Amino acid sequence: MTRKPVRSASIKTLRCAVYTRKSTEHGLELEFNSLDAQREACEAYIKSQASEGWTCLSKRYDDAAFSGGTLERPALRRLLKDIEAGLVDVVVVYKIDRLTRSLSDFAKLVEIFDAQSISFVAVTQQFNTTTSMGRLTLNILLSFAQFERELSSERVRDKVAASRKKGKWTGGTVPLGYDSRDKKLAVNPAEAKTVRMIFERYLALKSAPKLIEELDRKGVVTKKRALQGKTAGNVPFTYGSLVYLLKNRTYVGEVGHDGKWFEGEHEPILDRELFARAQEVLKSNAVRRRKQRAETGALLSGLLYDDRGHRMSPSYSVKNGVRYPFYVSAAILKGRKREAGSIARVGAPQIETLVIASLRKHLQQQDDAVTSRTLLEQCVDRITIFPAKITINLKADSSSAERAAGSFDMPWSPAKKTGLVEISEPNDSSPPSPKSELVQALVRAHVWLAQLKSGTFKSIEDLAQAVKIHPKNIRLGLKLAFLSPQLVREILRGEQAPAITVTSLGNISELSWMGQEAALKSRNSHRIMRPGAAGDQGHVT
Amino acid sequence: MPADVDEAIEAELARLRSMPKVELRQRYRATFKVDPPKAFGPDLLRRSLAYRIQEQAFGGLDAATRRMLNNLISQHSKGKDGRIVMPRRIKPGAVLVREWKGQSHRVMVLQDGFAYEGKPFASLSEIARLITGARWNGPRFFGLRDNGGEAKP
Repeated sequence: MTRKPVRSASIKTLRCAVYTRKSTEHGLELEFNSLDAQREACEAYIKSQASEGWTCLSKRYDDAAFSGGTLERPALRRLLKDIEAGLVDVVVVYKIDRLTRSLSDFAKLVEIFDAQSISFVAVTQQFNTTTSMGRLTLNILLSFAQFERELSSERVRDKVAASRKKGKWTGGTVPLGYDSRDKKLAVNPAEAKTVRMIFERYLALKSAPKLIEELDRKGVVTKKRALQGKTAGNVPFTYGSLVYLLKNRTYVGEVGHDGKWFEGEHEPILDRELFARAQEVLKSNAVRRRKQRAETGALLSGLLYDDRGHRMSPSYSVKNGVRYPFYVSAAILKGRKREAGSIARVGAPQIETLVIASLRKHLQQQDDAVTSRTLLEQCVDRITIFPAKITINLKADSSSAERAAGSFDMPWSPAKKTGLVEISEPNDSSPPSPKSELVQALVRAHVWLAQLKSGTFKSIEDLAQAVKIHPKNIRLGLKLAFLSPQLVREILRGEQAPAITVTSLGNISELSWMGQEAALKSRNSHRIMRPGAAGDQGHVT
Repeated sequence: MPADVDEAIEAELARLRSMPKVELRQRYRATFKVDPPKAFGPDLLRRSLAYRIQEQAFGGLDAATRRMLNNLISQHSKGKDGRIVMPRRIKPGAVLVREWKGQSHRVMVLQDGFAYEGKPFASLSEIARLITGARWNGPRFFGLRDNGGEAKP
């Protein structure tokens, strides 16, 4: 009896990759560990499908001691890379949660599998993802997998917190001076000596940078630590690592959790008195961060408060590329407008000049050599803005010569909305802009006059023909070349009465400047609608 | 302004009103030391004289406005179809910011000039020159001209 070939050519070979995972190192040293068990089960399953053309890839994808909570696992990464390369047709796992315990990660994986049209099989969980019921089952399973993972991590967290409260050390980075032995901190005599030396030298030098120099000379380095496959530490001390060591309460036999410290079970290295003295020095050395003033403008930043205690910080609005600086209450910045003080915004130039002037007056400090900035930094603790007064609290330890302690008030009134520097919205932050048609007409009049004067045109009619404007209108327009200087200035600066139009200027017959101004005023105060007068039906603005 | 000067000027202007053209032309010649332009009718003669009389009595345009006006006039004759760029006025207390070679320079607008690095300046061009070492048009350098092109604060 001749054996038939096992596979006819029509059956396509399916290359199966077996993925296994275990989240702890526990039991990995056994000869036949969980990963092997998983693998065996998968291989048996693949054999059972041999008639379908399944063959097991010899390459192993084993993740020992990796959590199912992330996709950052070396073997899984390799597997995904091989999938991308098209070396795999089926992914076989023992249970779904070996692949991932996170619903969202699973969705990502399924997407990758689908893109490469790869089927994936869980040996001990049969479900068919082609039906909605199967997909539901899968999702429910995964939800529970994720729940299980979160539950156990919560358990661990609570356990750590409880053990720390009891003074047990529960792992983590081992500080210099200790070793971890049977999951307990044990004093390492040589390193402990180094720690004591560091503390004593710190108390002698009273300066971290100097101590670092000294430690570098002596060749003292941080503790060498073995991480997964790498080592860390064993490098010269930096300011940060040194100060961390100096503040570490582990050395007085305490364990910390969540910022609180409890009496620990381990042997202290330092006596409390020495440690406490080091803390004193650290505290006195701590960089008293002066409120940083930005080097640009904003003299009062960090000093100014509204009358409900919110800090007012510098800001600016922009219009046409021009910045209009002001101080604004923190409440507004946080979107709590109703909690803001009665003055929530104030123009920077206004308040700054006011405060500095009154401060100089109050301290009799008229010396210009002392800049406003130093004056504020040295003497002022806080400035509070009330609706009708500004209170300036002076610093108690001010070093300026003759000074009055405490605080003083100065009256003030916030600028009107139309005022000089009060800025609330960008759109009322710009000055009146000149009316362009008035300026145009004014300039045109001067140009025409010059052309007539120089003889460029022999008559008004010639000019009219050249510029295609009726001579009558030229005559009217020319009047603008003889307006009083006052009116010209107002028109060019946009400060003229709002009702003034080109027409009303052309209607001026007065030769005298005073007469012109008076005529415009009276015409604006009671503009009479002359029936039938075309072009004079503008609204009174 | 003393009242009698005012009175005298007003009387003078009143006289111009009823002056015949021949006399106006003589007056013009006497006042401006040139022949009156051919195109000037009685109205223009009268207005020119009236303006000159008052200018001598009360003073004319201040220098800044004069400069502004002359600028606009020369723009008008140079520009396309006589369009002029409106002068922009900026309120005191505003801050102009300009990046230049990686540095940002801030200029505070004052009532009558500008403050840069704590020192007062009369014009933006001076400040621009200080910053760049080249002769920029100040407003253009600080991006106050719509046609500035490169200057963008």
